[in-house]
Amino acid sequence: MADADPKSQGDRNVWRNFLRRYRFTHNVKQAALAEDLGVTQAMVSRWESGAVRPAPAMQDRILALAGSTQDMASPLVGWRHHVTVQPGLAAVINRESVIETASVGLVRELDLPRARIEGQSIDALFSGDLIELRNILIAKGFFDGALESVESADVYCFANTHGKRDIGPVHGLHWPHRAEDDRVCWMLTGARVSTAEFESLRRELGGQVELNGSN
Amino acid sequence: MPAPLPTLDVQTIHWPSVIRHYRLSKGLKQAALAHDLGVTQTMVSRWEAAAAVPSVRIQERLFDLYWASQTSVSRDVWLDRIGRHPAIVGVINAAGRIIRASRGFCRSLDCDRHGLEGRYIHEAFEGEWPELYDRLTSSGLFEGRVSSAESINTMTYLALDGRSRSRHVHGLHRPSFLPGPEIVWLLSGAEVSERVRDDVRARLGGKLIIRKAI
Repeated sequence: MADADPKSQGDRNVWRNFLRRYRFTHNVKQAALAEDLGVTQAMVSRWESGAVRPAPAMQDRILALAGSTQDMASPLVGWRHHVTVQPGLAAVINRESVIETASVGLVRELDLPRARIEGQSIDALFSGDLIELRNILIAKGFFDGALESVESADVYCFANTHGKRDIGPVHGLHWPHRAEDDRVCWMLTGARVSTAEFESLRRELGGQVELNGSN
Repeated sequence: MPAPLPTLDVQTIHWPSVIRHYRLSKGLKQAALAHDLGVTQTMVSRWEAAAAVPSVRIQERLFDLYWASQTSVSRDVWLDRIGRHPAIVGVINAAGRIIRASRGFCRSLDCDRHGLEGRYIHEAFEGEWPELYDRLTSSGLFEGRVSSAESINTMTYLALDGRSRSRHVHGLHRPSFLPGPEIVWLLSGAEVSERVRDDVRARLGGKLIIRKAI
């Protein structure tokens, strides 16, 4: 039975379940939800069947509609949803360097719409330390499960600043997370730190990163 | 005046919420969950209707399923990772005792681990955070009746030397299902500016939103 195996749960199920639960808990018909979102009922039906994932811009609209309700039940077991709602810096990045999921805290710090972060390569958004960190992770076999975790002290700089101020020094902790389809994703977490703390972390780590092997 | 400590009574897990929420979060039908657990669909239906309580073996198995859906590492590695987390992360048990505090949590409050770990929320904090614990507890977080909560609060920390410090914290609160079975409060947060605090408060329509498990 395909849906009995958690491993077979694609990411699209996050949206499928979210929409179904919203309609179920609010007693809303597909047609009514479609009208609220400005799409066809067939589109809602396709999202709920898991055949199609809502486009990033539509995800924002769905969240604005369904995520704002006090009584809304959110998925207990969705690790990806858990990343999305984190107040701190967090992201799920795949081995092709694409940001699949960004936390509320990261969206806030980047000061960009979510749709301009998710689906983007980190190379399009950042330059400097974060790119260097990615290169180290790849070289050390992070995406092949060779590391248990990585601690880092990085300065987050925008690739195209557009007049924005860089995020600055960040203390990071990274670990491989096995996604539903068995791909290893990079779970990035972090917090901004002061320059003094950053310098002390660099001394403690013996450089930008400290790698912890598996086992 | 010392704050009264919460009583250390045995945790009562609300199995209908726990089972139903797991099943619906995974998009499983009763029959599929029954198949996974090696029971009949009628049994699952009875558990969800609170007409029967799952056996100890099933309780343990369900908590294993929850655990597997969140992480692939052991409880020790998970706790160790939380300890090293750069942001504000804490694990608090049903009695309100902080069993793990992240490095970022300590950094934010300018204290060391012992300034948080082993202490009770009611004793280590005053004001809005003890209230938050009380609200989460009365909403049934430790029973499995809450799926998540979001808060924007002033956290007033009482250091061991008696001094206090306050921070604006945007927090996310979830139950975590540990082998035992035990439900603990996993809190994560970020210190925010007054401007962000006001934005978040406007979005939440208050200081706290609790989302119930189905």
